[in-house]
Amino acid sequence: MSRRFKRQRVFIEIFIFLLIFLSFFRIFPEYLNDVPKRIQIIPVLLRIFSSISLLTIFTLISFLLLTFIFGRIYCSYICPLGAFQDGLIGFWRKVRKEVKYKYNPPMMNLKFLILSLSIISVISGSLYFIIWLDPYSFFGKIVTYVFKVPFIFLNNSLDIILRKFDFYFISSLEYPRVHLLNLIPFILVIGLIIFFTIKRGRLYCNSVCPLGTFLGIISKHSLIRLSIDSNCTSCGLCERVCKAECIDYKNKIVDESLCVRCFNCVSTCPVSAINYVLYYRVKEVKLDEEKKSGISRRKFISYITSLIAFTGINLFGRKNIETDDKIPPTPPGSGYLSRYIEKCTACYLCVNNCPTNVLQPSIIQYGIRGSFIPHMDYKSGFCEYECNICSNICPTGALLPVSVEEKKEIQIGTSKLRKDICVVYSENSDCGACAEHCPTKAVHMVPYKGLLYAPEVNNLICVGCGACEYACPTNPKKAIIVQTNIVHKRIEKGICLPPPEEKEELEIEEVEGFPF
Amino acid sequence: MDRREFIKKCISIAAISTVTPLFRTKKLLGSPFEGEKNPDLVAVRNGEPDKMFDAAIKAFGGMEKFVKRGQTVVVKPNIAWNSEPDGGACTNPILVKRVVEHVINAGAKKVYVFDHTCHDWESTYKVSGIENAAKNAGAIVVPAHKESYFEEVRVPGASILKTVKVHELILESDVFINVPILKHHGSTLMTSAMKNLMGVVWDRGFYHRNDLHGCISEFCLYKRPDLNILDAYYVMTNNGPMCYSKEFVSKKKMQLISKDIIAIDAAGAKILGREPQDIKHVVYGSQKGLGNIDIEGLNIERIVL
Repeated sequence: MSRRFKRQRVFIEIFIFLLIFLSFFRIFPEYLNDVPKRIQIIPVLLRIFSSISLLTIFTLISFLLLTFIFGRIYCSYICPLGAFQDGLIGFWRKVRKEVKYKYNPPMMNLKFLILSLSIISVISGSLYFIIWLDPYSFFGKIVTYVFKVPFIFLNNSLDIILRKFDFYFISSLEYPRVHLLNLIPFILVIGLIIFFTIKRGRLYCNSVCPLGTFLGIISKHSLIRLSIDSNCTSCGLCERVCKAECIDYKNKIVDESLCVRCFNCVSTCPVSAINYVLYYRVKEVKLDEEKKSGISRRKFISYITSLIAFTGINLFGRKNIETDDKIPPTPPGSGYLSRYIEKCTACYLCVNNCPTNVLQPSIIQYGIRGSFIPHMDYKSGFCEYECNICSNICPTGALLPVSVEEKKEIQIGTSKLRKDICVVYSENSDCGACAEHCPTKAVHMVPYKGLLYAPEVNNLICVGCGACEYACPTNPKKAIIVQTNIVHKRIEKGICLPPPEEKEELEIEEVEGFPF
Repeated sequence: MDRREFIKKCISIAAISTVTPLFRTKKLLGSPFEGEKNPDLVAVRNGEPDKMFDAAIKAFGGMEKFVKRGQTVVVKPNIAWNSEPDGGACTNPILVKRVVEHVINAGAKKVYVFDHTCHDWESTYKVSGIENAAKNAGAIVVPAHKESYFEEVRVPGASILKTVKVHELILESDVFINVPILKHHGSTLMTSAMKNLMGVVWDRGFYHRNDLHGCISEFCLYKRPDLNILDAYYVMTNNGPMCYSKEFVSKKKMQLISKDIIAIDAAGAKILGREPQDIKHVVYGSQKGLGNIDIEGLNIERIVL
């Protein structure tokens, strides 16, 4: 009976992992992509701040209840980063036959420092810590930077081969635009995760991950726990396979705040002495008093100082952003810039699902406070007028869902024409690429010289989609650019039609109804 | 048959075959010279797109004139924008379907349909209805949204567009059939057969930077389609080329077919109410000797269904 737990856990873990993983690849229809993002605790938590709905509250409460009953099952069943680490551990076991873990007391100071920094950062309006420490969002970055590149390489090479044989059911994809500055912090964190994982199992989850710490607080008092029975032979096998390093077989203690409920121990125990049972059946063991005691005064002071300093940095960063006017627009549904920055965890789900690749990871385009979150990059593409995928797919509510009709009225920026570089005005040559692409005819062609038509902008109906900027052929500077609306506006309705083009009426001789 | 008789017959056959075309006696001779009877331009009116095409291609002597058994064919419609069939921005899917069916009936080995789109290709292929129509008719619908599908070629005699990246299937296929839609264009004034060829090219920005009309006409120095089928069923008469509002679309129910890309564009200009001389790329094309802009002098067969 006991071995069933682990098998079930692995099955569910892989299933959910695949769901989450594939939701980054635009394979499923939208409603299926919807599921995996809704069962992630930190995004759902952030969603409550932006748009309270019964579903989000229900999800959150059920997660708290589940943790209170079963312990940290999120960490082993649902967390994509946990599954990633488990996969890595499995791989490492294959490479190195001997992987032994041993009990280690929790690093209380580090854990709670990171947790409180994360909470403070959320409250003070920057998700800087969450961007790198939320397991779901970080997993999104792993997909974007690590898995996507070989996937696209394989896909594109397969396409090149298959199209020689006239198979066109797959098509070439665009590589993500990765900037070195995006990669540096990413490599640091993923390096840390990989190092921890192969050395010490789920140490990252038990020392760095703020969600792990938070769930650990609840899990410590969970109703169903792991307990070591009296028939234990003290062989130490359970401690060796415990990747959370939470079993102390000598004292027969399982640290409930560290246990990620992987059930490796249960399936390993040769005498079935370790069991997953209700709390009242667990023999109470006194924990080391030292671990329970609080932090020393000196530590406490340094703790507080660092928190104040951090809040200060945040406020400084906030000041910075309002004066900057060269920032790219934020995606439709984000409302205004500072709200967007305060909600986006940079999971890059939207970046990976954007059909036109206009959404790209930023570096510091939105300032330090909003670094790494996706921005509208009109060099890579333009925002498709009829599309609202990003607003629907956003897990955190940084982009609130807007219908296509609503989205068509949101003005995220306005266009500015530079006549000194424009091909038509500066070279008297036909172009009109901007007006051609403009979905609202905010950019339209007016008679200029004889039969030459020139673009003109009516910003009352411009949505700021960037089609004109993307299409503009001038090099290296574009002759038409989008200027950001820090706070999104609405276009003027009712004046959607440019004046009809005046045309001389030709006298046409018709032959059998044909004008020639 | 002795030698003398044989030589006599040979000489007479040779004489007849060389002299008769000069005197345009094709009507007297009948069937062996039917090919000569072909009109320069066929214009059809007042029918559904597929019926009009049936009539037009019949006047040309059938698709077998253009497609031989076992050949590979590219059918290039205009699928540039997210526009429904009655939006007037993309070629009518019913026409595309009928063209593909004719090509396959003529014995083509493979038929490819593609366009380098302006909007996201997956949605334009779908929304325009062309992907479905072409697939149902038996064509292979091919993407053209990445540079890797294109190959660089030299354009002989060009002064601006000296090299151009062209879709690899244009290079590999035997027959190239251009199926544009006629519509207004804010800058070039008209999108028709010649402008539609921008959809087989990778870098359109180069065109826009360096004399748009010149580049459009110079591309025809590299390749002219074997057959042009101009869809003028729903015609966008203003605010083109993207379907911005259906109120600018008028239902003209016309179709033109020609081997001469300049003539078909000149006739298309007239349908839009323009003089062919207004459209600069058509003028440049005729100056380069790519076709006949003066359609009054052409043999036009007009069919009213």
